[in-house]
Amino acid sequence: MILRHDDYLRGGRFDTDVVVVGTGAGGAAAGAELAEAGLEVTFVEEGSHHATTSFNPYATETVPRIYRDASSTIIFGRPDIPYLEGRCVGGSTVLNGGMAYRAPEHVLDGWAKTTGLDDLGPKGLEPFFERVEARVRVGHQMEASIGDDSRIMVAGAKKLGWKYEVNRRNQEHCVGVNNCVFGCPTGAKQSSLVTYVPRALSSGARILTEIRVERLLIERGRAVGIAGRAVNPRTRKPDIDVEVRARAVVVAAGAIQTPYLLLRHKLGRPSRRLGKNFLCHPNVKVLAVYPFDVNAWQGVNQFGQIREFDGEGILMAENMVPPGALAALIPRVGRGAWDLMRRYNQIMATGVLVEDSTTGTVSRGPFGLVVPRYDITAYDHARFLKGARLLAELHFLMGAEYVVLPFAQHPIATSIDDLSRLDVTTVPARSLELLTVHMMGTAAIGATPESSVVDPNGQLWDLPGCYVADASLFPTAIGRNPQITIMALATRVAHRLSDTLKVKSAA
Amino acid sequence: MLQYMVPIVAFSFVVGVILVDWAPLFRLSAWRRIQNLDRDRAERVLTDMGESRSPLVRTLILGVRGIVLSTFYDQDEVHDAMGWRPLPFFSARVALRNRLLAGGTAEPQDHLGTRLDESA
Repeated sequence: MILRHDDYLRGGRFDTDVVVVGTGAGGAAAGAELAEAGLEVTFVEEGSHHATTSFNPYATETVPRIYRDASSTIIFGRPDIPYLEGRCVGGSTVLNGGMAYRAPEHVLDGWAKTTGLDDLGPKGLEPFFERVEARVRVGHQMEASIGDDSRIMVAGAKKLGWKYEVNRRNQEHCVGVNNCVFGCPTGAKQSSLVTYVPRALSSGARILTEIRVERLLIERGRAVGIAGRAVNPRTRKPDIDVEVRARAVVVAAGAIQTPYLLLRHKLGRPSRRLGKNFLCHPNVKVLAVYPFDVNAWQGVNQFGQIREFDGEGILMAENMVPPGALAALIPRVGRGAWDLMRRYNQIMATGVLVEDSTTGTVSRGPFGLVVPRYDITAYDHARFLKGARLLAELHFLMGAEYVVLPFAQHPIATSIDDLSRLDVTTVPARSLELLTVHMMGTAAIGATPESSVVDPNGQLWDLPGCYVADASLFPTAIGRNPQITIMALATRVAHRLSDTLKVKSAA
Repeated sequence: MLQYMVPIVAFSFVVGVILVDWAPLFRLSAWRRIQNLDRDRAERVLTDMGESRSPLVRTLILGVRGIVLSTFYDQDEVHDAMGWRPLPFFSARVALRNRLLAGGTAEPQDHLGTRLDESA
């Protein structure tokens, strides 16, 4: 059952076994597992439910519907980093590229070592990864869906002798419509919207949509539910109070909204690490304009990744977007913008992702603002320059006419010679045009209350009954697309929680 | 779009548009607002601001430019002029997927892309 704003006019009070805040990778996986274990589950989602058939390539219609705050979200720092996350049933899985990687073994080994929790290592998480991958149908793309932008990346990497890894994606018969970032209109991308959410619904869960959770209900030192307000979809004003009382609360609102909600109650003690350890895999875009039609908008969003520079934490890949989204990335206006955009069919959008070498913070600001802060390091600066230059070189090698670089004062390069002039002295860090979509780490899991925010079961050390099940749990960055790892950790939290609640029921 | 943002951010956008309009005077690059400048001059002022060394100025331009250009390049007339016609492609690919779900296979004409072998 999916409820929306008008349904709460008949009453905004609900009782359930478990209330799950958020329906993205973490929330949907945790909620579906709990519902299938026989518990009564109620999801609370800030966004609306949008059917697969409603997704289209129009930015002005899509962005306000499925992106948080119409994508006006920003991480403050030097430089500022715009970030994107979902606000709809299915969360960011509706708008991600559908890459389905596990966290690498060395990262999981590191987690096991630093947290002292052996079952966070590769062997401990193996059954959860397997379970998740089966449920979201992880596999490789079929040949017929691979577009020319991907083929250019493959050929470029081959010419340069670079290691290229074909992506594993959560998809079933993906035919390469390449509308991933605005929602898959074919239903091929196995987002939470078409996998975990239907599973949960068929096990009796209900989803309360269009509700902004404002606080937890805490009684006698224990979380017993949530309170929020339903947002009128016509006026966008919150106008109905809603309360959900439950035996347990699972917060899975993402690595920015989860600490924002929990910090309202000054939680995260004694470590005081709630909202700290903010990680975000910053990335830059490199656009290439070819003298022939690439039609990068046709074909799988991202066929593979260049992994030659894995050791330095640099990853490169193609990721074309519809014109309404691409236009927001170009460094030109007026006729200059038109000169670029009229050649949309000849443009290839690619990106360089850099693994975090530092951490930021998320805190509560004035006027209801969430304040993420993150400053890149000198090492990141050098890696962005190196990555963007190498990617531009690949494009020139493949015949690009010019490339649009993510450097404010040097936005265009017409030859490899132009690239040689770009270094840390000519391109200051503050002139980088960054972007991110992978936020992690703000409520890290651990073995001791002094070093972590949540215990090995995912429960807050200082608030019994309140669990975290999203990317906030990550102790460190993973250097890969995080959704599968989020789902695996959320599944682990759900299994432990369902065991606990069943034992209590039996008692 | 503004009503989907946090109110203070939406307010900042409105202030941002006004600031950008008055920017030529603040930056002493012209004695008129942008809306009163000729097109080439206005474009130059905005491009210069987009390449400014001040991150604050660039963030201001990024926000305003993003919303304006996204909206402009989201119109069917503009798509036609760019030669981008996604909906027939979408329909054909949805039909292909339905065929695959029914147990069919992709035919040679269903394959996208042509350049791997040429480029490699």
